Amino acid sequence: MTALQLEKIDKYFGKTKAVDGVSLEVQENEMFFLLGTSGCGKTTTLRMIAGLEQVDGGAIRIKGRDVTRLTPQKRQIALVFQNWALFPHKTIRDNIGFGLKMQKQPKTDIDAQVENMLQVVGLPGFEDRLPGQLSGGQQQRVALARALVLNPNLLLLDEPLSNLDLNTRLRMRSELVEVHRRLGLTTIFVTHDQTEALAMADRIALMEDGKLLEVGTPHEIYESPHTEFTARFIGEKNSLQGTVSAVSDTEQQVRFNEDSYLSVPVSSKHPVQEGDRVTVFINAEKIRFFKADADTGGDNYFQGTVENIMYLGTSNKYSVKLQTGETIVHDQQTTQDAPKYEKGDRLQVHLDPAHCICIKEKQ
Amino acid sequence: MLKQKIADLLEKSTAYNRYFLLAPPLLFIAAFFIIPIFWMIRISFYPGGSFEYEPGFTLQHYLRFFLDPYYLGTALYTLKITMLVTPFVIVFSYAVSYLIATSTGKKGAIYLMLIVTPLFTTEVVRALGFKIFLAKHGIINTILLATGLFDEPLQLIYNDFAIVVALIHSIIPYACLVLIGVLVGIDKSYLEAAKTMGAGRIKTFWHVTLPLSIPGLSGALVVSIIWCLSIYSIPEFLGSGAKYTMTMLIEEQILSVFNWPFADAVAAILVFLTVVGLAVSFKFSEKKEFK
Repeated sequence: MTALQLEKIDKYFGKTKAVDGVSLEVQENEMFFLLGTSGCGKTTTLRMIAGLEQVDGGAIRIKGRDVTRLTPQKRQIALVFQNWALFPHKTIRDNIGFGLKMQKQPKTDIDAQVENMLQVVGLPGFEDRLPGQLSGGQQQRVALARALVLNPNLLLLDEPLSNLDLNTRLRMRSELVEVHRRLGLTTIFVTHDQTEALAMADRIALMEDGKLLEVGTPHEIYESPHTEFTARFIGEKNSLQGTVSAVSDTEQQVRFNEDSYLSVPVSSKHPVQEGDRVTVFINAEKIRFFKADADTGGDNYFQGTVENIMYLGTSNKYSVKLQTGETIVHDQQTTQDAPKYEKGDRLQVHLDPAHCICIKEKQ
Repeated sequence: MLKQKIADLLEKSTAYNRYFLLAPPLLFIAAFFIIPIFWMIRISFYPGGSFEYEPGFTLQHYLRFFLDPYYLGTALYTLKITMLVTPFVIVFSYAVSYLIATSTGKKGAIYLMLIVTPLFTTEVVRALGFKIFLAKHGIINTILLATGLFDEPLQLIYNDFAIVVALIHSIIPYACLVLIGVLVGIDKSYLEAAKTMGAGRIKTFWHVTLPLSIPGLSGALVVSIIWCLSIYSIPEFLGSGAKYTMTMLIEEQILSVFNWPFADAVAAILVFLTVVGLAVSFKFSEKKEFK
């Protein structure tokens, strides 16, 4: 069953179109991510789902029910804000119990549910504290408890982890996934952090300029992006510009200059013709290095010189200037058997065709 | 930009620099406010009466104030006016501030300007304005007579009613300036969170907006109390003349009776009342301050 359906929703702020004809479907129990840079319309989309912004066009359905014109309190959703928005003057008990109190549930029921929720988020006994007395991670959990206790049709999360320090953030990621797995609640998660989306999502919707660019699993989005924007935005990809010089049934040749070219398998996703200007993307960790004098032979090997090395802990980031004149970046894991190269070393770079994505440039 | 620059400057400044920046206002306040007050308090203990006093120590002026029902009455009258005025100031200024804080675009700015405009005139001018406004043949009475509801003009002036109305009018802008700041500062996400959890407008106001504006309310309370205690021209111009506030008593003792030690004693009591009022209000707001 479809938990949420957006049908061509629009939103204008003045004359700017903040959200432009976004359509998508989220399945029951899915962890769905809206990913994009700031100002791409992802938060506005979330706020329209919540009912905090009115749509200027299109329809929103939650579990098949049209909620487009309903106020937030009638949509049976729960929203966790970026700043968590815990009422500073109310105790944790009153914060979590607020929604239940609005439903006029008896106090003893509310207290029992609050206690239960605090167990779920791992903060038993925090009932009588004020939000200001809690750490960021703890406030985040209270905000989650306050949302979950309402047993909503949709759980909406607006960058809930971006105010946390790195370690807490990483811990909260797995806790959120765990809670989601246990409770099986349809969740819409807004973030600008692609690693967060890749790590947690069932599916990701990538937004840019108010438009929905593509929807896919983290694997699809990372390995075989549809659009040039996705290719540039997700992961750290090298991009090489060239011209398609030959197309066969299985392969296409992308020529960079007189004596260097790449062979890339033909992709039904990204059809090209001879003479097209294209950009070839390849993820930084997919590149392979060989010694300059190694007998490699075959296609897609390029001579290069190490220009710079950046030590990143888990990996070394090499910048290599290719004979074509372009510079590519390679992330090499710092395992023991990884060959070491020094600045100025000459080497061969292999761009595996299986990992090359060739996208036609926009006119 | 300027705010950032000042913040940077304060950030970089050593303790020495901070005192350097603070010095001019501190010196000014010390020279023209703190020292005179202590001087005044000292004279309030000098023995003497009209036209004459000499250094020494006596409590006679304080005893005179507290033991004479007429003088003590001025304190009670001042407190009565304060208690009549303050609730209206709080309610009216809260309503106006809420309107301004929730207005979008230019509307809020226009309302704010309307609120602040009266502050461009002095207290005396405003008191005289009310004199015209509430007079026997003033605007209000003319309108009331024209409606036919009354046969003869109402006595709207030279009584407590006139003092209370004019005081409320004078204090509201100051109370609003305090309240607007607090109301605007309430994070909208609190209100939105309440909405998504099923609270309607009234419940959101009652459970979220009102409790979060308590610091502003206590600020407005302080403003109102201080103004009521210290204002002179409004009761002087609009009152009956039979009942004195403490400020009127002080003025009379200094300028007509020339009993400076007694006037100083009354002033010291007024300062004491004000300080107590402030302390209580601050204590109250401290408890309710969040984050």
